[in-house]
Amino acid sequence: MSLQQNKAAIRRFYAEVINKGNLDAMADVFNYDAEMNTTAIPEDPEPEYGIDRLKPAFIKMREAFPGLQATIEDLFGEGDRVVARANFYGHLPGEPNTPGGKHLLWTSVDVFRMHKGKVAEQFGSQDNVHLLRDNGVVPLKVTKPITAMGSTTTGFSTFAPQNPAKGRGTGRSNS
Amino acid sequence: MPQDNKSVIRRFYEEVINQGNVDVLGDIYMPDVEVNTTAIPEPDYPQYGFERMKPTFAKLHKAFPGLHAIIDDLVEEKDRVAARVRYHGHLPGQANAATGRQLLWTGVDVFRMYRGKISEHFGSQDNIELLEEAGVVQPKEQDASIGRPNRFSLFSETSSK
Repeated sequence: MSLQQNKAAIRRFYAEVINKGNLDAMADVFNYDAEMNTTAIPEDPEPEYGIDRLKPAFIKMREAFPGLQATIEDLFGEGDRVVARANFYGHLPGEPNTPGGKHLLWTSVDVFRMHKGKVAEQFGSQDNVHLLRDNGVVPLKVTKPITAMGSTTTGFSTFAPQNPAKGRGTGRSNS
Repeated sequence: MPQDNKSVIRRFYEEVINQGNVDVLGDIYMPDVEVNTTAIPEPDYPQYGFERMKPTFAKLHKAFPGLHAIIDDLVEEKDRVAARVRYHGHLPGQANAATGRQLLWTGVDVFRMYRGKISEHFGSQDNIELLEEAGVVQPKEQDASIGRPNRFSLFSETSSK
């Protein structure tokens, strides 16, 4: 599979599974025995294997954060690897799901190993401290207010996307 | 002849992170580099310019005795490089490798390169893992003293030494 095809699968992962909660698309994106390593809370720290075991995690994630919407800020790869940097917008648990009230919850970088056009392994690094700090769980010094969507300083401002995906780029979601 | 991008990134981890040699930052970062990182305890990002980053890396190296980064994966396309990294170190004040608690956490850095140097740096560290290991927050289930293996079992190191 070409790098372009691998990237298309990753775009589909974010658009369908993360943003829409379309779990039926998982079989198109993940190998059946895919291994997932992520620092996302509240996941078990051990790797999860297989589509069927991954599905509840995505359901839980979308339930926990109303209106969850990820924007891919950077997508590139080499050989069988694809790297995706993403911003996650939505609401904290308990916050009302108002379309205009979404804010940056956390940022992430995922590294994927692809096999036959689908994800064989995923390694995700989320900024969980950002999330917990906003949630009041970790009493860290907060020097920045919660940023509104589209006005974040989460970086790579001068990064031009190499392969502009449909609907990405502005940091704003459509929902 | 500019250095090739992966070599620059390897040098960053080896010399700046592992050796704490901040004097080489000028060879690695562009003068006006933009640095975004989730690393604690510096919430005031982005930072601009390698001169401003010198104290940060010096502090980092000092804060975690024996700090050592291992590159598990390097991915390069055009002007981007991503590095998946494991960090080993000790709790502040516990420099003795025999008795001090080992810390182990992971991160992924994304770099935009320009003329053989880093122009932008976006670092995503798993700070929760770090805070758990350091005992600042309680892990939900697992004993935090259990070191975690490199979990990309099937990942071969693409090109690191």
